[in-house]
Amino acid sequence: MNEPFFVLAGAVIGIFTGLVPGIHVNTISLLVLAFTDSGDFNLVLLIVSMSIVHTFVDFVPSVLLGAPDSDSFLSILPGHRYLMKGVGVKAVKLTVFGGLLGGMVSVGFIPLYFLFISRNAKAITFVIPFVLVSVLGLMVLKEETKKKKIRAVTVIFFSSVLGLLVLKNNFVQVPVFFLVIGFFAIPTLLFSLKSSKTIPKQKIARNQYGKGTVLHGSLLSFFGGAIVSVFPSIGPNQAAFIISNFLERIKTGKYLVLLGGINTTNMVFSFIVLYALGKTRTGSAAAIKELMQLNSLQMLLIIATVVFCLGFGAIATKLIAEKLANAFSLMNYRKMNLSVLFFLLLLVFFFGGFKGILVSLTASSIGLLSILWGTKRTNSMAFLMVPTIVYYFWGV
Amino acid sequence: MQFNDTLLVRVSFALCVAGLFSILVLSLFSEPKELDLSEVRGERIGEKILTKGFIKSSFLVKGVLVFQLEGNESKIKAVIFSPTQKELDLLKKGALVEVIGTIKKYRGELEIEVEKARGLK
Repeated sequence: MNEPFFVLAGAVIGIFTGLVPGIHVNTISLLVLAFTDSGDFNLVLLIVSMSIVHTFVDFVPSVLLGAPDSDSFLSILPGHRYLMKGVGVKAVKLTVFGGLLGGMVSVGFIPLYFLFISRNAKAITFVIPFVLVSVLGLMVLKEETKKKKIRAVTVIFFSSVLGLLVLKNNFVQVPVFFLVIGFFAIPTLLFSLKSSKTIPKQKIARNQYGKGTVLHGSLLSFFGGAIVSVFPSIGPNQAAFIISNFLERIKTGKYLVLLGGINTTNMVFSFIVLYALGKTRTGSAAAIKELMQLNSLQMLLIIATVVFCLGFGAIATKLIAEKLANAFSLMNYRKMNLSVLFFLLLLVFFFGGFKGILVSLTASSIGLLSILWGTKRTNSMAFLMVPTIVYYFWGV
Repeated sequence: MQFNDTLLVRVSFALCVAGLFSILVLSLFSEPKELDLSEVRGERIGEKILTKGFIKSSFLVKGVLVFQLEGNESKIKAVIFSPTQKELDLLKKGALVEVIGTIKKYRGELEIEVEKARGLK
């Protein structure tokens, strides 16, 4: 009966991967695969708990440091607004509420979701490339001016070419890692170096949250997570973008709940997609597929692990955000960002050598273009979407 | 209902307890790691495993059923203490079986101390 031990170990590792910018659960999952034998279900539980806890904790550095990963980068802007008003912890707690309630709703709907995707597998596969093309089109159309639309197309073009070159040619191992750091983390950190702002002292108070903000945001995140888990290469950020386009303007608080919820819900559903269709929609699901084929009892254990980790991740993130918020405000923000940047580049070099650095810096320059031109940063996700579209239309 | 930090902690705590309890209950029914007979080696002594193979020979000595499992050019001795009639009927020469048990060392030789056995067609 080693299961609870592996679940707890995974949860602790999830805190680590969530807190340290650039260390993703996918990286740890790859290490697990590299150093262990396949067929051990305890390792599956370790990956599940690590992944769920990570979806909560990764908002701490993204909001309080401005160092996101691929799943949380849209939280930088609204989170940063809260941070500069001295209520960064409240921003993190809003994402926690989203993850907690969105995760609970998704667990409750697992049987229905399972039936839906099992019965509509063929139809889903058929519509995937069309949906991706539509999302790309929507991303361009939603830019405000004609000039920005042209710039968005340029960013999408450059990102797609880089994605196709790196992902289709096995240019480096774990290419998505270098691309995500390049497109999203490095440009944000470089830009924050330009700013001479200091983080104001953060208020650690017992917060009240609007019922509508939390409930509506969580419910929306459930649908967002369902979209992400079905369509490859659409991340939590695009799902939030799609939802925000179908609704009236979403206020910042609700948007944070939505992002937190989509992040967690997507992870929960990716395990169900793996079990029902054998398809992998997250790095964690891909690692589990490599380890073993799941049976129904094991799937129940995975769901129980998810339930535990929803609670664990929420409490851990709340406590960590409260403890770290003012530690960050006491530090020199510029020096801190410089250290994070240096650390990320070191990681890129460690895992990918000069090729990794080349990929990350090329992606960074495209990411910087996007910031300088004032276009939506989600446009860079074309690096993943276009190769997926190519695969679904032409099978390459 | 007020949405505040207290609610957040209470709901989270309830989920932690519910999840952990479910993991404990479900893990009682879960099966151990599946290994090929060739993977049953000395460094795995003490590990609970699931493996399968053909029974090459089987005999009962002083209430202990001893049988030889064979498959993929590997073989290992397996034992069941106080076997039931159902197990005696199942674990006969030539049968293809799946066993769950712990790897042990007895008189310098590896063996599987079987807890559960089932027939495979």
